[in-house]
Amino acid sequence: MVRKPTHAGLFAFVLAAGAAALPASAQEMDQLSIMAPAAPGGGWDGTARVMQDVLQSAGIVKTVTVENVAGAGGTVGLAQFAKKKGDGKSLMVSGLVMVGAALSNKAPVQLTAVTPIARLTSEWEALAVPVGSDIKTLADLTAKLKTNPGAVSWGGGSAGGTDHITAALFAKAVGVDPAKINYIAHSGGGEAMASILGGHVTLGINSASELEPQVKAGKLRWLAVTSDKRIAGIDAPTLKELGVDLVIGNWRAVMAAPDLAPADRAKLTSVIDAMVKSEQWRKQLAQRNWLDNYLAGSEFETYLGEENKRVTEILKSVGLVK
Amino acid sequence: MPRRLNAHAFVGLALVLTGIGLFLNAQRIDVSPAVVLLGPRLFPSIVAVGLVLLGLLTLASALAGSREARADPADRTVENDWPAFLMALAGPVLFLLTVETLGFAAAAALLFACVARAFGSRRPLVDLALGLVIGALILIVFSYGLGLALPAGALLDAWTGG
Amino acid sequence: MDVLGNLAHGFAVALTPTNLMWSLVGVTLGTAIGILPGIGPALTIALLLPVTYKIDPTSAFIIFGGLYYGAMYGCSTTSILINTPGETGSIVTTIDGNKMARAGRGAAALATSAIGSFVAGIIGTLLLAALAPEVVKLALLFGPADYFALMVVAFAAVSSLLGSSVLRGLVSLFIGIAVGLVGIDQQTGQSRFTFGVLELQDGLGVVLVAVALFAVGEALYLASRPDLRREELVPVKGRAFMTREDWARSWRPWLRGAAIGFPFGALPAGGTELPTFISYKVEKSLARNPDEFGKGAIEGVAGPEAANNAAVAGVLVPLLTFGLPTSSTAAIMLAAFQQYGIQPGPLLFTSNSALVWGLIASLLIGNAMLLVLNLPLVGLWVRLLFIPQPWLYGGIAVFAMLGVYGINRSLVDVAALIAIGLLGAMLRRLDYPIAPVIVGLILGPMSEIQFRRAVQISQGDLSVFATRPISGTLLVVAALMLAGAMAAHWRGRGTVPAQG
Repeated sequence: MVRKPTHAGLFAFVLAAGAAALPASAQEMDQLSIMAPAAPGGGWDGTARVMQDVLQSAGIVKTVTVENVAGAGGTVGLAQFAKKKGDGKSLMVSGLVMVGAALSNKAPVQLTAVTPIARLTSEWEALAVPVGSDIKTLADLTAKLKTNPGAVSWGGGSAGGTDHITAALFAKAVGVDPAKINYIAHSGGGEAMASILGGHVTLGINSASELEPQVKAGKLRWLAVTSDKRIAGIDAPTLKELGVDLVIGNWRAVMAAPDLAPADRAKLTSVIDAMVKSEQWRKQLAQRNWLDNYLAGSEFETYLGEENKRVTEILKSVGLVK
Repeated sequence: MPRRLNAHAFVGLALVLTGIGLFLNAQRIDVSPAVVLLGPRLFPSIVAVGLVLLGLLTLASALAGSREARADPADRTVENDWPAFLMALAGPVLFLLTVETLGFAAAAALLFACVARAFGSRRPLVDLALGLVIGALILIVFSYGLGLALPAGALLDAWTGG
Repeated sequence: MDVLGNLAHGFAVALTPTNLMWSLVGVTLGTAIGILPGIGPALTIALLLPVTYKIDPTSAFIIFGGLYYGAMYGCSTTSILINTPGETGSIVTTIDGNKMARAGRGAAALATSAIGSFVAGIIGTLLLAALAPEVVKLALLFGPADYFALMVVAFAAVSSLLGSSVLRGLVSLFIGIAVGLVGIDQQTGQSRFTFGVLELQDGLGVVLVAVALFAVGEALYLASRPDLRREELVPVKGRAFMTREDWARSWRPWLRGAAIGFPFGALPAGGTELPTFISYKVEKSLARNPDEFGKGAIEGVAGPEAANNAAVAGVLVPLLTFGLPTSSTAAIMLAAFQQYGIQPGPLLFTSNSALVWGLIASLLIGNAMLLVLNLPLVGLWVRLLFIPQPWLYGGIAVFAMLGVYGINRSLVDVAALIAIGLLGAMLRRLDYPIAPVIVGLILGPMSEIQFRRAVQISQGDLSVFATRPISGTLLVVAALMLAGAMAAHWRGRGTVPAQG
């Protein structure tokens, strides 16, 4: 039985009242449910709730509900979401982290099972060292890494997560065996940041926006960012500039249920399209400092396939996936 | 007293078995070829050894009838009310079985009533009603007020058209 | 940084009617959350985030800060009165606090807890105001090897919590450590003991286990023991408040608890539970009558309760000065900062001084409000015991279930709750202590992670534990503590016959 995560009578009543006040703009859908495969307060949850806010206030969808199903890097939510076959009224927030998690957790359902709709935002990664470190440039790091990979400890988030993947891909790109890197996993950005700031690891690899305040305060020094072009406001070279062939971002996307009818898929795609083009969305992105990286349709599908391949390969070489 | 000793002996045995099981299971943990010096098997193995040791000590002290094993509140008569225990257990079990079909409020009512009865209440209807009220209040405050989606129940969904 | 001047400015912000109201909302909500088992400040703040879109940042943080502090006040109430800790930070309080309540000294326990929380909260907040950047610098000196050494000290301190039978205490401890092994291994990403169940990959959370062992386990056990249920709970016997002796025995533990709690909150991976274990141990070692511990020693309530409140102030230090969250609640608060486009960090004190100092001032006011909420209302809280038992435990069961099921709507969690609840009932029946299970659950994974991290970074060099100054010193401390404990045991001070 398809589980509809609505609040039934009470909520619907309240929203009916509220809906009467909504602007009669291009309303495309009556009802939509967004699953955030993470606990309230996390990144995916934030994305889902912003989507809810924008879709409702811009009048694109009358009622949007957010459902949280946390666990195992989003794979618990994924497994549950994949059961909603043919459901044209549900979306799930996803991201690069889930690609890795589905693979390394040996999840029963892979991301390929659900229907991709669009990529929404990206967060670029960055490499940084404490200001007192003797590594001054990326070239210094590369040299150290090539001489003795084990002696360079990387501080970042969970094993198999974006930071780990980035570190491994970097090693590969400069000709070091990814299996040899000394990656030190932490749970949560706070722990990793403490290790980095305290100089307990050689360098830190984290999202650029998280590292930025520490660099601005003079505690850390940028080595490079992983974007394709320089990031506004961040005085750091891109890996590409420095001759390292690697571009990677922590992207977030929305997915729809498996076995979706083409009409439903088109509808969901146009809903997201309207959202991304709305004034409210732009405002939210600006306020939260999220980078717009919208990509929909078949282009996104291709991108997803490439990312899947890349992550599978690198996680295999690191030993997280057999 | 003999019954207590047997219980502790069982505990000791259980610990030893658990420890052995833990150890065996630990050997099956995947260890990746990546640079990992002291891997994911180390601590489980240490804990397993610890459990086995503690289990053996417990077993030994139970069988030897040592002071520790006998240090129970013997000066108080121990009454056991197994029906009440089972009724209390039924509460969460019923919740588990019904929350997705009947919704949080109804499942909470069952939970509340079972526990209340286990603790001596003989007014099941009052308990059910009270449980339903508490469950409904929670549903309203958390779902409506805070947006924490609690199931209102599939039946209710069907009835109100979702 | 002119602390007094800034503080005065902060009070000007905090004392507006609106902000006073928000402060009251925050602390009251926090107290309520603290009392409810399973629902904590982290979850509540996360749920309140959407609400805060509508109000200005300073007010929002006044609510959050008050909520966090309030939770540490409220959690002791149920610990003391019904042996069910509202937060993991008050698990230790159940040991002596509940015994005091059963002996008719519930009001005194609640009072020492509230006043201690107030004293520690004020001291902690003032330390936050004055010393923030220095404290963070110190905290960052702790590397993984040092943390591991700290864990060893904590383990040594745990010996005081094991109860009268060391063997049984150790069994409980190891059960807790074993349960902590379930889940994904942090360093390598490999699943351990999940038996193919996807939902177990994140492990069995401390909150889940604590709620299961304490709330559910207690309910199941008491249901099976009508003789214990009939025990007359005399909540107030004799003096309805703290006697002179109580005051005399409490004030030093309050101060010591504050001194212990604050640094732990500031340490990444510190938390509010660890300082309570350490405080209990310290108080037991320094008490005139250590044998009373475990039977209703007021120091065993005063110290830990002060510690967990000071720890919250400590958590705010790295959060505000460095944008470094050291607890899950702090992480949510950080997310809240980011909603507003504010980046906490070294620049926060200068760029948003109204917010920071307004928050600090409001926390001081909040502490006073909490003292009022918790102290004169002691009589009211004690009445909790007069709710007919069937309804009291029915209510506890429902709220415990809400705390566990409501967050993830996972039936696996509910099943785990039942299973662990049964374990808890069985442990009680066989006279095994419960608190060490939680201690093992918290300390086990932490010590493993830090140990392996340290070895990983040093590439197999085990000498780091001895050569790093902090680590070396702490290990010596731990060794001394263990030696002392063993000596005391052999001298016969530890072998007190088990009590029911």
